[in-house]
Amino acid sequence: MGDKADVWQGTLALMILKTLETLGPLHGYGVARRIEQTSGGLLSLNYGTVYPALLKLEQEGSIESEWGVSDNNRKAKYYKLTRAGRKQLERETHDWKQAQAILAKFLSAEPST
Amino acid sequence: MIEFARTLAARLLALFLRRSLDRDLDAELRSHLDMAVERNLAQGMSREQARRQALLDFGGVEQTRQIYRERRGLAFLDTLFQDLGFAFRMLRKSPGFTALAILTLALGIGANTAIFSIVDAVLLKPLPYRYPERLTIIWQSDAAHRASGAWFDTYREFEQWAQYSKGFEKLAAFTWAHQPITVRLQGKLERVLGIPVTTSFFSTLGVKAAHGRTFAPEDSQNACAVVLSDAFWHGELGGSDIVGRTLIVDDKPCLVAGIMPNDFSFYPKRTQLWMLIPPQGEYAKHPWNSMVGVVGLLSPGVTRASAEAELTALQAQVISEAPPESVLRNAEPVVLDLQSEFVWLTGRNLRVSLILLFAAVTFVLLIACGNVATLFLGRAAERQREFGVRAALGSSRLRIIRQLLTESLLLSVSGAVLGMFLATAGIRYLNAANPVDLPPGNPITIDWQILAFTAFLAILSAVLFGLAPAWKASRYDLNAILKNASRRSHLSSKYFVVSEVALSLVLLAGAALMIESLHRLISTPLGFEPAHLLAANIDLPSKTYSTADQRLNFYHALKNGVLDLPGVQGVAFAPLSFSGSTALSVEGKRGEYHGAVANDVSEAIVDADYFRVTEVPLLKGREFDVTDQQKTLPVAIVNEALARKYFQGDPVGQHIKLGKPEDKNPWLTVVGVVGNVKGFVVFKEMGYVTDPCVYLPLTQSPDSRVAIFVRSSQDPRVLTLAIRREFSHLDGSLPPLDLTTMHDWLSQFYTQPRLRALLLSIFGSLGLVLCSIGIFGVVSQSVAQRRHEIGIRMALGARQRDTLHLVLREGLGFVAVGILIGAAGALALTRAISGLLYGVTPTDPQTLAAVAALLIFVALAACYIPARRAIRVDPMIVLRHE
Repeated sequence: MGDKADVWQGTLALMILKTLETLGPLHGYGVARRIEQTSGGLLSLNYGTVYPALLKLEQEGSIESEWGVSDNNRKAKYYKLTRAGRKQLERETHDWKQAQAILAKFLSAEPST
Repeated sequence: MIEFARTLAARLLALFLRRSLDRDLDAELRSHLDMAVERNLAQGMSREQARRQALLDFGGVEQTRQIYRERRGLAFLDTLFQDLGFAFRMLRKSPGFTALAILTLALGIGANTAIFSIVDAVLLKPLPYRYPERLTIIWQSDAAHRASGAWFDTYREFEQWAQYSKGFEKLAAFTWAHQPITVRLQGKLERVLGIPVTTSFFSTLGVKAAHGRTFAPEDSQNACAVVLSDAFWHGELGGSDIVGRTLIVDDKPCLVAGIMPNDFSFYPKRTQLWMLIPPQGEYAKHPWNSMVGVVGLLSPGVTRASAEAELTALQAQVISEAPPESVLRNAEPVVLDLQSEFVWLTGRNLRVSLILLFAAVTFVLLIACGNVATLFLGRAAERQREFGVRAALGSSRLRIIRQLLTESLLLSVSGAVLGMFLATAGIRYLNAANPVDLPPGNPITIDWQILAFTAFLAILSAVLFGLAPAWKASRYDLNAILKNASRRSHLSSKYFVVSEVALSLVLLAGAALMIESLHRLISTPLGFEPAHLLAANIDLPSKTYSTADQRLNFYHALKNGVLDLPGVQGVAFAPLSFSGSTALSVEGKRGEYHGAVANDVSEAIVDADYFRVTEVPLLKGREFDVTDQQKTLPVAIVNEALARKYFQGDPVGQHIKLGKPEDKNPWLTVVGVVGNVKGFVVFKEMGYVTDPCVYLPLTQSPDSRVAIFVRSSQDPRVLTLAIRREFSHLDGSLPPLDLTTMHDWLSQFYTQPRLRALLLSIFGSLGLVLCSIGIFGVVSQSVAQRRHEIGIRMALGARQRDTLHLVLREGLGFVAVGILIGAAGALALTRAISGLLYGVTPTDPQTLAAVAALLIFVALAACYIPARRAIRVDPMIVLRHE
């Protein structure tokens, strides 16, 4: 696991929101696996950490949950984006990209000779 | 912000739905794991392997649950509930400890709350008038010696100030220097405490009547107008509908203008009615002879000092009109804060006493906290294993401290609640029984400020007694504890006991000094014999007793009538109290004793039997007798103090005059010298004065105001009814005699010192008891911890006496340290109370030694019980236990 990155604080929420936007209503296990898969195995993620993050988003009203039945007939709690959640995702994606662009510019600056 | 509110709401909700939400989470996690296992199986793992991998991927189910829960509810409240629940169970498990701790704290906090509610009402809270911060009282004071006291102003000065002063928004005069007032109630005359005031009195204070109105300018048209106190209206008048009707006051019909609210009071607090001083009445006719106090409302922004300067200048303009004998020439007005003055008027040492009592109860609370801390430390030692196990299971150190502090808080809050009940009971008693006079103004109640103070005390004491034990308990050596190695450190409980002893010593020293002072004050011989003596003031109205003969005949008849009663040994007439303020001239020594310094002679008009009846010894010459009549040579008897001050040799046969040589008073021939009678000092509580005194025979100065003294052979109280009947029999129109025994009359001067001594003794004893419990606790702990050592010592041949000495030496060791520290503290602190002492110095070595001895004795007793337990240690049992 040495070369895997830990999940940075705050980005997990964004990943969850994006996952839910892309895949629609999903249970915690699905969200966790999706994040791991998307990162191409570069992120080290304890699946358990997804749950407190889900709870936080739910408390903030970005997502809501409902008990449902999974593909293979298992009871599972499904999360889906709310309207506020969509807005939050939009905003945070924008912020994130901006931050990334700034940082990229900053890091690509040539050392002055 | 909305997010935050939503989160908070969700979390609060979660607090209540904890159980069902827990189930929900468990189900969710289970479904997660099941799905993971299923997937792992599909990838070809064995069932065992699949499950293991699923758990690994998840990364700590229990931790997730914990984090989840903390985020779900309010983590802080959640753990608080947990801690509280645990604390409650722990405290219930050891009811003895809990009860002792709560009771200790309740006493400490209760005493603090009660005393603080008095301090708050009397010293801190502003007076319940409109502009309390601008209200002042104005007296006259000796400009050169301001501390020597204050006197009434004259009505003339008040008029001048009221007319011209700009520094004051309003000024009003009031007085209690006047003839007693009577009211006719259902045909019977009753004495009442009535205070004459000017029209502006109530408006200066900014208070309104509860029924009717206060005085208004139109009242000066009436012959007389009064405003009643609520207590008088409800009590004596039965709450009848009287506003706008008349009440017979001093034989004149008076309009009752209004009734003041229940919570209104002014000095004197027990005033029953206020009567109007009309602008054109008696006061205005004799303005230089009418003594008044002045209350003033400063204009906004004016300081007391500048107001004083203005009044001084105004007074100087009129002082030359004054008849020479009527004013104190070197007096200047002083403008004082009304609230402070109320306190001073009520008790010369009241402010200091209250601060002293507050300090004392603070000490008690500190001792109580020290005590509970040692109890806690002892328990912490017993609970070492519990903490060790908790730590091993992953409890952080902070968490353990928090747990213990929660337990402390639970204790202190319970103590505070119980203490609150004690304080409420105490205040209820204080308000009902009035064991001591408190200043007018704010009633003593428990309001939100007091509640806040008590809550503050609860938290403060929880920190005081809880932090050190919690800190200590959390500093475990995990290995040592789990291996059950005993530790022999109870050093910090010793610190607590040392401070308890030190605080108790200071407290007890204060109490002992008070008791000693009270004892010396009471047992000082006064120069006469107060036992079996009754006295009552008599006031003959000038209308019916206008001539000297009428008055003398009445006194004569009364004396004979009372003398005929069985058990009466003697009857005499004299003033009940007198103090010096007159100048004295001695013939042949013209001009020698002028000026204010010599205005120290008191005069007392007494009848021929006075010295015999009160047992004041005649030292030289003769007493008054039947030969001293109105037409015969004016005579006087002087006391020893006067003889010593004004005469080198024998005063008998010399001529003296009251006042200055040029005054018109007659020259008096001194016929005798009597012993000094001690009087009470007006401006100082703890002490007596022996003013130079001139006694004049009643026959030559037949005053209308005297007091009757009756000496009886047995308990004088049995005579009260018979004397009163005799009095009313002679003149039914006079208000009934208000007879008191001399002992009761004197004891009013001892009320405050007595209460002070009593309260301090109570607090001191409380401190002592708590302290002894503390010593007992620490020594018991020490013995319990050293059982093993003691067992070995005994096995090696130590005798029981050696063991006893070992334990006692240890216990008394720290008691001695505490006593030394306490003695130093007492020496430093008791100086502050020197004004409350009489006949004993604040650093009296005997008192301190006695108190230290008492503490050592109590400490010895407290050590002895655990020491006895130590010598009963059976070496066989202890060693076999190994």
